[in-house]
Amino acid sequence: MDLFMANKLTNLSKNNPLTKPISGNPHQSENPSRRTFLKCSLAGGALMVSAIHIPAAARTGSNESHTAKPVRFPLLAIHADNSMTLFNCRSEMGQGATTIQAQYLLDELDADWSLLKQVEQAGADPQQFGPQNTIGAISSFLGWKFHRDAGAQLRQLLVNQAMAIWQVDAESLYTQNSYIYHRPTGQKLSYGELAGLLKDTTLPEKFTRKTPEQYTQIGRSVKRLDMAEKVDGRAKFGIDVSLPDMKTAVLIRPPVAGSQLISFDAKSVKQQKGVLDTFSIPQGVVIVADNYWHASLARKVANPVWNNSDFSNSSSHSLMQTFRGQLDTPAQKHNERGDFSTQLANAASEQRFELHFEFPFITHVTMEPMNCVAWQTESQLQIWAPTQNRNNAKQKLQELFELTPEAIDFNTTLMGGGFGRRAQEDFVVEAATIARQVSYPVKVIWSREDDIQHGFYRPLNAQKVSASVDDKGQLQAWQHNVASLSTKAWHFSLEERDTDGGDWIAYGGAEISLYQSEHFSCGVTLNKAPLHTGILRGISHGYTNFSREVVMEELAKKHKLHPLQYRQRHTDNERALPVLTKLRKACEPYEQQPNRKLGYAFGFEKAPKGPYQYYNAAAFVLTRSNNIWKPEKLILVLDHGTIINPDGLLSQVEGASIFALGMLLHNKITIEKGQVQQTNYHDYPLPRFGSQIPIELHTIESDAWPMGVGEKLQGTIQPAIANALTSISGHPITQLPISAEILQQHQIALD
Amino acid sequence: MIKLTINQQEITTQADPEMPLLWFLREEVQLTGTKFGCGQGLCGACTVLLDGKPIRSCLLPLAQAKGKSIETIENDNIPELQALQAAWLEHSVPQCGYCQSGQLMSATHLLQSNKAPDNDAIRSAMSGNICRCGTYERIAKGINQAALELAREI
Repeated sequence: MDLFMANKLTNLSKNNPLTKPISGNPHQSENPSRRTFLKCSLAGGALMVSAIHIPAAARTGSNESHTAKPVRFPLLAIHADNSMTLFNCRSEMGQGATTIQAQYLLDELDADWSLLKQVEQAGADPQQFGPQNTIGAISSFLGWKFHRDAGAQLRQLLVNQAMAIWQVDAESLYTQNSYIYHRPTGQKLSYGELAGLLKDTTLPEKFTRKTPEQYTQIGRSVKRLDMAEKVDGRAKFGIDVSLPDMKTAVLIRPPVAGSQLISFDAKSVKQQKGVLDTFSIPQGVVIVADNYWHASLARKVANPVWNNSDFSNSSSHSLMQTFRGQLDTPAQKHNERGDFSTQLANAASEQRFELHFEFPFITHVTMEPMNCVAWQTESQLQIWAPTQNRNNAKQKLQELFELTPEAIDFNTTLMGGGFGRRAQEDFVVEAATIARQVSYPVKVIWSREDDIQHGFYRPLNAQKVSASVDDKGQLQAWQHNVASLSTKAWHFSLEERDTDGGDWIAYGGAEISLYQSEHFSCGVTLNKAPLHTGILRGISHGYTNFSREVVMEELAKKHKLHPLQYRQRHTDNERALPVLTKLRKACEPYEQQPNRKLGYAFGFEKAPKGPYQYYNAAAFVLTRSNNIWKPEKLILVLDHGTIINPDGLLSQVEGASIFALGMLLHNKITIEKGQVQQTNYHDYPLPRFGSQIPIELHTIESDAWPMGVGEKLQGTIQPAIANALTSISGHPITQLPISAEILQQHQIALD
Repeated sequence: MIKLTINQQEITTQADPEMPLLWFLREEVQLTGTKFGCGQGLCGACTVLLDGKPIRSCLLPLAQAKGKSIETIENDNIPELQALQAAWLEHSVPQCGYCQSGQLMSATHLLQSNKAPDNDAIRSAMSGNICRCGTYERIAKGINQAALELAREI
């Protein structure tokens, strides 16, 4: 009998931001009708452990969905020569998802790391398609049980079979480095040999997972499996996929979001060198040519005429004005407790505090621009896509074109960056739409200008934080209001799309705080616009936590308390407190010195129930020499649960700090007459070599569920840096990006 | 008809002479290690060596490569590049990896022209290559280690 894992996965998905968005969302409703279990089989001499995923509709007997058939996706194969193949069921963008899956599996299996010879991307076969979306730092989290259980059960199966073959008891056996040993006789069998002798591949119901002191791979800085191919040009990203007779297409999309094409000059386009075809699809004007260069040249003569949407009357300036006006009268309220209004009205003026914040539209600019290869053959729609979200992308194709899962062959490639942009399926849908109108395989390539002007932007937003305190500075009332754009129309999960839950990514984090306050309110107003919005590394915590942490720092200073002590006084969370305590200690050598200034911040996420949570804190140290302030150090303390790969964690932290600098100092999309004004890296600059800041990383030892890191530090690093600048300038930073004038005025060298 | 040398191999082509070298490399001779990032010479992902100098191949018309020698990331016969690749693996430099071909070609030229670059020289040589994942700290470590390794071999 297969081991039934339904309960475990159902519990997981309750707190999984992918299936249901995240902490404290009052609108989420759990869909309990999913289950996944593990199965083992012998195929071509290899022992294979797979996950069998039964979608909701199959279990309820409903015919409404094509996705109703159980799907199998392999996790690991042990071959006769004892080598192994890992089937990567997540999307790899350098965050280490592939390697972490291998660490989980091989550790519990007691397998030899050097025998892991191949990594294959699962999902090439529709029968191997499972829940594989890679968003919100999820790979380390979900694999923690799933992949470890697969490894542990496989090991137990091998042990049980060896007991039967050798007619010995369990106590006389042990496993190590892909071998099983009979201690008294010294007999041994490799896992590969044993696989060939198996009579029964039923996974045992009784098995044990390792305890931390038994780990061999978990907690080890193993080299990432995708590293070697990334230094010599061999790595194949989506844009590198090539098929025989493949053509290249570009798409001219409407400059004003939500506009329709009226006409374009197809005749002139067709006369251009190399052009093979041109036609329109709902997304815009398609030009297909023999190569990218010819396709992009032909854009210049297409002269598309658009029926501009009402959004052409909007600008980022006018939107921000609207948002500012909505902060006092929020349309929705979340997690209200006590009586905020009365409390604030009765507070003396010196006990009240309020700050307004403004954050721009920003976009992802992954180094690899969006692209996708699609080919409609007689029997199948074939897709090669660098996507974080293959399940949704495939499901969307099934719905749009009324296809069965078997009619789509979906291949996920390596990705040149994701950061949330590749959670959207738009670029896959476009390519498929084009491919269905031509007889050859087609690769759609976005220019950098396409990428910047037709992104899924982190939404422009205004915030107001109001607080009142008692005589000692202790919070009495806290209100965090957000006005922004609605995000639900493009929510990365099809299940959440167009539901209220899908709007969470515009304000999430404002509605839940670890800082105790008797009276609490979060007010939200969201506006509709046709401009695409979406998740971007850090999601809404990137700005909601920024505001909270700037206000906490100001309140601490106002009451002459150490900013970290002030935070400690406002929480009794048992994982937050050690993080704050450790950071205070780490900062001591730098504090109270004339030529040093520090800023601090704390960050967390905590699902209402279950293990999806992390806690971290940062301090940014600036030092002055020759009257110039320069960054000296970013000190971080992390409790993100069990650490799977210490060096991988450090590389994510390093990257996150550079990414944070981009948002703090540079990133800003502006809109005039409904059109994005920025086009390329000259007007949407990013931090360059030399911007790196020395990092001092501390971690809290923990056996809690592991959480990702790169995505989760944006809401902490940014306010820590901003608060350090404030400690020099005296003025809290309430608008991003920070203007160059402020830095110049206070002689701060930060780039 | 254009003749050029790519990674020590002579190539004759009838491809469009106005086509940027980047697209010739990627689409005509399938050397896809060189990446498209911006098309405007702003990000450095398409960096290759042209007669030993780093250039942005997205801006250089194929015609201007006529008679020249091109080195790309696929070249396995450049000592500086080999030393850098080893150091890149040692320090686990790449994350998504997309920009790394360009980073490595810029760094190769740096070490070919300066055996012991200081921090300013490294910054100056590498500031044209954007890494969105933020691997700059490890790129610096990789360059320093490769320089040391090369000095040791002499």
